[in-house]
Amino acid sequence: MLANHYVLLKNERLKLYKKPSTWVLMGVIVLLTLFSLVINKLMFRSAGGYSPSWQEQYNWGLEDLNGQLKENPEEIYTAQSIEALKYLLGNNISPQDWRTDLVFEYYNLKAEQLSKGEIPGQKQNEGKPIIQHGDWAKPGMEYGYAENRNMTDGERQERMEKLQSILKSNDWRKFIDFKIDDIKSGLIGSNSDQEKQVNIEMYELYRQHNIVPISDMNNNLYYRGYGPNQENNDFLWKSREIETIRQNKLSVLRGEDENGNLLTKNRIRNLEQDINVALKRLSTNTAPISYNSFLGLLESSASEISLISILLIVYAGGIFASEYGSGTIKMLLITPHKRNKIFWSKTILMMELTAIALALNFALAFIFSGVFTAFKGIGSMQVMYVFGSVVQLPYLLYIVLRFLILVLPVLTYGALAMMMSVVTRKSAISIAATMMLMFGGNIVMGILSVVSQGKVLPGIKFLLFSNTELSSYLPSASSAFMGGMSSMVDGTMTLGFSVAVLAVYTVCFLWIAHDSFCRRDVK
Amino acid sequence: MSDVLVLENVYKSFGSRSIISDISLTVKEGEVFGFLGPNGAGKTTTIKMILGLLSIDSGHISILGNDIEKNFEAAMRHISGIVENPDMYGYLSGYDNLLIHARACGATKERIDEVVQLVGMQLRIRDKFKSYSLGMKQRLGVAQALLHNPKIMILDEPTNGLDPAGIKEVRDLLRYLAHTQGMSIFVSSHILQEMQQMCDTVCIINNGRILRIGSVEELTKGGGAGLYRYRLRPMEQAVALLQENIPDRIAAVHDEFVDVRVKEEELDTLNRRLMENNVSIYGLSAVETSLEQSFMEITGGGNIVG
Repeated sequence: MLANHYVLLKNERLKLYKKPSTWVLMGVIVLLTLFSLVINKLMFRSAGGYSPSWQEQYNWGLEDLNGQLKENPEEIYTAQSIEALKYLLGNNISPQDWRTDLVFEYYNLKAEQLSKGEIPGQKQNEGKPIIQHGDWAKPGMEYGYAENRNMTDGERQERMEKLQSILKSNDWRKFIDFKIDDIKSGLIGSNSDQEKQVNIEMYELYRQHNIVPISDMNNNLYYRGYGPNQENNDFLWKSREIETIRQNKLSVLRGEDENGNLLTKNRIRNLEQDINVALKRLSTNTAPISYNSFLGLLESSASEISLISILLIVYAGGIFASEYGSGTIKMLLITPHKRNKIFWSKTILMMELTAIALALNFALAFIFSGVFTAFKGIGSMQVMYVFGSVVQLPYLLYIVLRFLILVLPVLTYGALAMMMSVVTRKSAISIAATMMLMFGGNIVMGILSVVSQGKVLPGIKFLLFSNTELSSYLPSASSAFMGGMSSMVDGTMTLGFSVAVLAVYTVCFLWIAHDSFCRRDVK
Repeated sequence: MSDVLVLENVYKSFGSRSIISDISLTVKEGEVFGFLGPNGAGKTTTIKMILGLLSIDSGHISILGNDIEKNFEAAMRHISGIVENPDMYGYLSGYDNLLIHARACGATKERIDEVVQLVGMQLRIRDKFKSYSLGMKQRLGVAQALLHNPKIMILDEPTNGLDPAGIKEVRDLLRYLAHTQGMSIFVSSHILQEMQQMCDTVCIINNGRILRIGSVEELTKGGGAGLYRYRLRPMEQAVALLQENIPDRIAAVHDEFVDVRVKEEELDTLNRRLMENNVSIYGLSAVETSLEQSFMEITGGGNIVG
């Protein structure tokens, strides 16, 4: 019985693989894949791009401030900003360095001291230390050094001495104590006890994991998604994880995100998952995958599967229709095999072809990424949230799994094309119709969201198009960097839901195709 | 001789249009069975039903006792056929096309070589199917149909588009297969001569109904009246005599001869009568005693190629 099926599959293979157009199309796909890999690589390179060193940027800042001082020689804040930058440059304190915050605060206080009588708040943006060059360096952080305080001269003096002594000792543990004191006294951060607690916990994490903190300024910029492309050193990623924990905890506490949007239940769950992941990363000392490492590049390149879906649709759209078109369907059916066997042999061949195309795509991406990064860090581990628990696994494995999951919608579209192929018996019509549905789906979704004015229409989540973007459920090295996942149609949707919907559609398409093929007359 | 193919009260309609009504026939072992009818009579539809390409509305078709609906695979093991044109994969070689079919039917590679030999395609078998002439395509189609040694072969207009030499080739091959290999052949055509020359039994079909089934001899002789051409003297007297006796049988009157439509067994009586009345018979020949006559009679003169 099985041997029987295998014979039919062998026939289908012979027919497909001896067809010149099969190889022409396969060649085109390979070329396009290579092309898209190059584009992909170039895009990441430009995102990394050339960025001036921090010293250069500080020097530009100095030039600027000197110009301002020339126009306005009495401006004390400008003068002190110049002093701050000179100090940073002189002591080789990079913007990542935790001392940066202390230096800025020190010179800010000094300016306050010198400009007695002037209310600092009025001159905020003109007088404070400003580093104008480089978008990433902007003043007015949510927390950081204290501002707008009413200090007596004595208090100010005391604080300046304290800052000086910490800077002199160059001991980051003292810096943490200092920050915790500030939080407790309500000098920085929020006044709510719960939020104070969150902020204190964060600083405790530095101490606990022996992490030299990154300056608040740097962290804050990172969290807002416009951090500079810095060298990913050990302390940088750790302090970023801690910052993620802090921001997520605050968001959950407030019930809204940093932009003031109310959080859905699913979003809260995601935030909590991210907290657990970050904690696990810290405790296991697992650095996140950098998007321009081998694995990061592989992941972004291997996700380019839309070309494969085109390939599959073209084949699936023709696999039955071409037999009707050439009249060979009669020869095919006048054999001692029931039609359902013939149907399955063709379906299995489609799966086989998809598997080959996917393997080819993955192999190309693998070699390509390897050539650019010398396979560095191929065995890197990563902490991920998988099926309700935080686990540590080789990231390569995750990339493969993610890749396999991203393929599922392609199979559904393949089944759709096969159904069209059987029902219409015309290659061109089935290919065109399936392509239109695939690419038109997003347009339809866009129109629906405009029509519904942001509200989620009931039942829309059961549409095929709502469930084809599986990458929104699966974090990647680049998506984490870009600041989270794209939003889903409905907050209640999960990966399991979408996969189930896709499975139901696939089964329906195949069932209709099977039924039609086995029952309809061949006129 | 056992029954190879049996159709019992088969009906088929497309929508509300009835295509086949109440067709029953039997093809015996080693018999060349002709399925004759004008275009649109339902020949191809019947063939497609026999081969399982079309469903049957009611009635039964069985091959060597296997009902084709209930026991499709067993039935199909004994039958092969070419419907309409021998359509194959143009981008594959003749050999690959045969290989595909051989695998599906469980025939060996040696058998492929055998059938290629049989139809004389050895030299071109590795060429692409699309490069073949129509005659070669037909031959390859026959080769394919022979692959799994079927008990019965169904051929839909096998001589369509062939030149006279090609037609003769096909005819000889079919008679060889039937009479020396014991294979039954079910062949449809709208060409009378062809049927007469190659078939043992002929079934005449029109508008989806069987009009008559019989051996070629039965249909040509026992059946309808033939057309005979008499050369008689004196002509006037003879014509007057004929008009007096069998006015409705005179088909045409010329200066030299007269055509009369009579049954074969009536000829003797007619000759006697003429001689008794002093009419001399200089010549008597059969103009068309063939199937055509019965066919014309039966179908009332459908569109048929003589």
